[in-house]
Amino acid sequence: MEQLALQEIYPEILKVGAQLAAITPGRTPLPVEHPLAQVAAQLGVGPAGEGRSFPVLWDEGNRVADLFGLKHDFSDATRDLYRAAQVDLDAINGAEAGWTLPLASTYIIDKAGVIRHAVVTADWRVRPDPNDTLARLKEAVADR
Amino acid sequence: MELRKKLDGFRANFEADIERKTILDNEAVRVKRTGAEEQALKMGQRAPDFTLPDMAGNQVSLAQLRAGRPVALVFYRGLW
Repeated sequence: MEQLALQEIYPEILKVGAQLAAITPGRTPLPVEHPLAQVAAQLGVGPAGEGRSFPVLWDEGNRVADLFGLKHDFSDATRDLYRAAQVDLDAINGAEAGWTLPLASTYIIDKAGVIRHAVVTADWRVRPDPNDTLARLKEAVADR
Repeated sequence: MELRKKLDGFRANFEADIERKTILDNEAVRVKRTGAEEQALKMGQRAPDFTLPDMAGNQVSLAQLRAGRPVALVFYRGLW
């Protein structure tokens, strides 16, 4: 859902001469009957990826997340909670990913391909302010 | 932002159940204790190139995204 806030700043990111991409294990769009897809429809935003103008990349099996050292597993309690809430990651993310997820992360890659800034958090409910991301991209554009 | 409020409301609703919130809090602590954050690539390291499909099925590489520009990569967990 973070992508909705990112969508707002995307035109500005392009304007300053930077780029943005989201990476998710989620296979999209979700089936329309899925509870989360219904919530999204009620909000008028569509499922993840749909209607987004910035690239949303499907990281099947969390392979790229693994390259970045971000792949981690679930506790049984959390798995049960998600299942009870009908959040079935097998269905959402594909059986190949199993019950693994990426750590919620925001990376700023500089013009030379080096990581300029990284926010990596075990608590996915805390995300950087998209305006901070924009500010860091602006700085990176100014790099020589 | 109206939409943001709705989304925050959805999350607050999901976590209103104290038992549920406790499990999520514990999970965040558990993952932190595994040292997972320290395993991640850090500032100063080279970002590995990759190619992934976008939602239209086009193959997109980090090199294409960069094209001489800085890039923000946001990893997220399905809809969250």
